[in-house]
Formats: sequence, C-alpha cells, structure tokens
Amino acid sequence: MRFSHLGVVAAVLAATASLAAAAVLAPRSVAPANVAPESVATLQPGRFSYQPAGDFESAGQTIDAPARATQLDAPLDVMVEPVSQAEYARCVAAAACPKLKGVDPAAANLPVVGVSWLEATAYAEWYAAATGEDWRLPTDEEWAYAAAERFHGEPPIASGDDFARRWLAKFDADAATARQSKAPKPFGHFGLNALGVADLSGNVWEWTNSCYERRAVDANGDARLLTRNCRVRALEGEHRMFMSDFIRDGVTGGCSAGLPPTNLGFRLVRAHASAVARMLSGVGALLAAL
Amino acid sequence: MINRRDLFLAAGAAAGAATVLTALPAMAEEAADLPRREVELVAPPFVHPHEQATRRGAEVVAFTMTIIEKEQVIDDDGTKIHVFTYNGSIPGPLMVVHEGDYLELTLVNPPTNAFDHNIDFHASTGALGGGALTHINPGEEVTLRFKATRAGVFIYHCAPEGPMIPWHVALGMNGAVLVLPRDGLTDGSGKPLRYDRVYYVGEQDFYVPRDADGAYKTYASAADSFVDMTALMRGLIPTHVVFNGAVGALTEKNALPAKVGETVLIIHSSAMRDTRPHLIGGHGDYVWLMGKFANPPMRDLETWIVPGGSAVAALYTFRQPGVYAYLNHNLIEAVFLGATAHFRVEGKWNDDLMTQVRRPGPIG
Ligand SMILES: [Cu+2]
Repeated sequence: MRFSHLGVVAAVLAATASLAAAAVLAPRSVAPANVAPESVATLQPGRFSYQPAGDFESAGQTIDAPARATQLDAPLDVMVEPVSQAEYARCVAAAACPKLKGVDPAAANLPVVGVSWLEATAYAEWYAAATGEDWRLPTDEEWAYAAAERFHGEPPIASGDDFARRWLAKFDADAATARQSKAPKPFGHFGLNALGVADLSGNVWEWTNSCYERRAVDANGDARLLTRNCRVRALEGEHRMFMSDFIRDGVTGGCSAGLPPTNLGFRLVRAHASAVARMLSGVGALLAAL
Repeated sequence: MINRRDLFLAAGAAAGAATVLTALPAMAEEAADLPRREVELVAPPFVHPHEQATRRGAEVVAFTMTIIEKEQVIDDDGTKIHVFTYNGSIPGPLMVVHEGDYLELTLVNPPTNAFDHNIDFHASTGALGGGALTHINPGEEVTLRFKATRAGVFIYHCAPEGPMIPWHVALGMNGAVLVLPRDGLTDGSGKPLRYDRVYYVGEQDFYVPRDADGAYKTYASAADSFVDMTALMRGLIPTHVVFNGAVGALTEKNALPAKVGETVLIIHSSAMRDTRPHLIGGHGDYVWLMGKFANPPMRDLETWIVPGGSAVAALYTFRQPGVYAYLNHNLIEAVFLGATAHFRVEGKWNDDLMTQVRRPGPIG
C-alpha cells in the first residue's frame, strides 16, 4: 500500500495546496543500452483529497464518491511524459509487446496511442525487466496525486433521487466538454503541471491499474466493497472513465451518450530509491542480463 | 475511355437539352389567381413555422434556396470533404405546404459555384420531378412551381445527368417536402393527431477515399475527388452514415430537446440507402410507413423502415425523461459510421412505467 486513507473529510482540500514544491526532477535513471532512460518527476509524500474511482451508493441512492484525505506514504517516481511511440516500438522489437498500427519507431517525441490496458501492462512488465526497476502502471489515486491541479475526476452527480435528472446532468456535463482533435501532440504541447509532470489531461487518456468497483457507503462513511471487475480499468484524463482492458480506441462515433476518450495511452511509475540504490539496481540488471 | 472532363461536358450538354424543354406547352394553371405567401426556410433539424391544419384555401407557397458548394467537416476526426448543399445544409431544408397548395421554388446557383445543378421533387408530377426544368449553371437561377397533389413526406434531390446524379446526392444534395392534409394528420379513423415539435433528420451516406496508409484523402476541389469517390461508391459501402451532415450533428450539445408529455413528429429521409430508424427507450406511436398520409399510420412500432429514395413520418409522445438515442438500428452504421441522434427529454420519472427494483450488486 502506497497510500493510507485518513478517513472521509467533509471539506475538499485543494489538491495542490499540500503539494507545493513536492516534486523534484530526478536525474535520468541508469538503464541498459537498449532501453531509453526516462525523465522522472519524484512525488514527495503528502496528503491530498481524493474521490475514489467507481460507483458509490448510500441508502439505495447513487452518490458521488466520498472525498477522503489520502496520504502518499513514500516518494514515487512518475514518468514526466507518457510512453513514446519509439519506446513502445522497442518493446515490439523485443517481442514483448504486440505490434500496433500507427506506431512510428522514430517518433521519440510523440506519445504511443491506441494501446489497450493489456498492451500497457505488457510494456510495463517488459520495461521493468529490462531496467531491473519496479516500473508499473499507476493506481488511480497515484495518477490523481501526480496530476495535481490537472486532475479532473468526475463531474458531481446532481443531488436528489430522480434517476433521469442525474442522467441528464451527466449528459449535459459531457456535452459541454469540447472534443479534442485526435492527432497525438509532441511532448510538452499540453505543458507541465505544478509537479513537473507533462501533458496530463491533454488529448491522451491514461490507463491506470485500478479496477472498476461498486461500493456502498454506510452511516459511518465506510465504503464497503460490493463487487469488483478487473476486466475494466480506470482511465484518467480530461475526465475519468472506465474502459474494458482490451480496448485500444474508445471513440465510437456516436450512439449511446457519454463522452469518449480521444486517445488511449499510458505512463509508468516506480517506487523512488536513492541515486546510489538506483545505480546498484541498474548494475544488478546488467549483471543479470550477462 | 471517358475522362473526368468529358463527364462534366456531358453534364453541361444535358443542361442545354433541359433549356429546350422549357418551351413545353403549358396547360391552364390556377395558381396565377391564388394568394401567394413567401416562407423563409430554416436549417434542419428545425422546420419553418407552419399550420398543422388550415382553413385557408389553396395558395402558392414560395421558397428560395441557394445552392452552396463548400467544404464540411463530417466526423470527430476532422475529415473534411467538398459537399454540395441546398441552402447550405445537409439535408436541405424541409419545405411544408398543404395538399392542394402550389409549391414554388426559386433555385439560385451563384457564380461562385463550379457545377450545374437542378432539383427533382418526388412530391411533384412530370418533367423528371421538375429536374428537366430546373437545370441551372453557376450564375443562373430558375423558378419552378408544382401542385402538391398528394399528402405525405417526399424527398427532393439533385439529378443533373448520368454519374453526376449519385455523386451530387452522395455529396449532400437532398432534402424533403412535407405536404400536410389540409385538415392535418389523423390516425386513419378520423382522430386528429397533432405535434408539439417537429424535427427533420436526413440520413446521409458519404464515401471518402483513403490513401495507401488508410487515412482519409483530402482534395483541392470537388472535381478532384470525383474519380476516386465514384470508384468507392461503386462498392456500395459508405465510410460514413450520418444524420444531418456530420457525425454528432444531432448528439450531445446538439441533442434534440423535448419534454415529457410532448408529441414530436420525426421526419426521416434517406435519398439513396434503405434505413431503419429506432428510438431507444421509446416507440413510433404512429408511423406513416411509406410516408404518405392517405394511408393510415401503423401503431406502436419498435423500428420502422425508410426505403432509399423516400421519407417517413413518425409521431411519438415522450412519457419518460432522460436521454434517448434515435438511430439507424443497423447498429454498425449507428455506432461506427455515425447514424445517431439524441433526444434530451426533461420531466418527471414515471416509476410505474419503469423502476429499478434492485440495484446492481453481488449475486445472492
Ligand atoms: Cu447538384
């Protein structure tokens, strides 16, 4: 567990307030010659207010996920940029990731898009093995913490018991969100957030490791798990949504209401270790490779 | 071997032939003595104000449409094609008259356009639906008047000559006319049927050629797209099937508003391909299946058919609030190709009609 929950809070804390100067841009990690080194931003431990992903109910009514004060317990490294097309292509070349349409092995400055959670996970496993470091997809709360002031989450649900009113409120919120163009933008196009993480909530929605959950909140504010579906994972970006793990393109072209993600991509995180420990781990990976 | 220029010259020759037809001897017409009313057209999905039933005698209802050739974005990816439009919209505006009225159209082809065009009204009688009398080159205009002798919804479309016909229609040159019975719509046994709102949905198939990488091609002009596009059209599989000219033209922020208790008349036209509208969560209370009001409407339909080359009218009273998808129930065309609209319906939820007895949760 990298986060500890400090219980439900009534007031929503501004996510960035407690995070000022929390990030330190780390030197590039040591990596084997066939793997590009990563620019990482190190997230320092801190508290923030977080509304968990999933559907929540209370007394038989759909409710907003209760905001809870959440603590990042240990420093976390997050890739400054999403995984690039060139990086993904190296995983394909190593026969560890499926070949995807539209991935340009020369595009080191463009995010890989059109990737499913399955491919993002395959990449993470390959990259972790290649570097000897514990790279993985972030959880939804880690992503939210890293996104800081760029985090959108979900629009509030209209209060009241009328199902259709909540539905229309969600429909209106989606309709008010402008569609973005699909062409992947060069790294940096959407700028850095306060923690030095680039291109959050741009035209790429990012896979997280968090499964879909349905929870019931009791009178004490405890959110009891009812069901969990790990074939569906949380996506974060301009808004949060859930997507089946094998989907590469969430844009449908119409039909049922709901704003689709423009592109699907991802970035990875790892536990932060000291530079020396990182060097040793890198050497270890090299030795293991020999 | 006919090249592209020859085809265009052939179309021009046809325009010349049409000019000869204007010398046809005319039967005596009553229209000259009738009152004349000019009506401003409104872009779909909306419809110009009109009486549903009328006590007025027959009159001449005069409309003007300008043909606009332009570029239009047709999907969320920004795919842009050169389109041909009646009055700037796909479909062209809905023109409403009553049975026995004379519909008079002045069609303008501005000098800025590159192509000759005309109009074939399925509601009219003779001269290829008026197509033979309305062929105009850029810089010309023409006025046609026809008697609306049959009540119903009817399409109109451009029909210049040969391969220009399907091409112009596939580029957007089609619309519809609503000829109402003078006493308004009925259920077929005398009960009047009235609507609070009317929406006009025009289903359009587009055929956008792709390059070697599979990306949609763009062209400097409509003429430049002709050879590739008509080659693709021969395969009969559209790249886009959309409502009102573009993916998303009637969804989300463009959703069609309505309220619980309101009755909505939905006019659905399709100039070339058969289609099958369906209102998810609702029905067709009364559907004039082939779109002609001398026939009684069918009741309580789940899905109805619109044969290519026609328009159909469906009447529905909303009973439940929420979002309704109105789509072509070939769901492949609806979801992947774009043939979807949304109704956004306000009102109070009716638990008697539907209720969630138990929320989703663990089994047992
Ligand atoms: Cu035309």
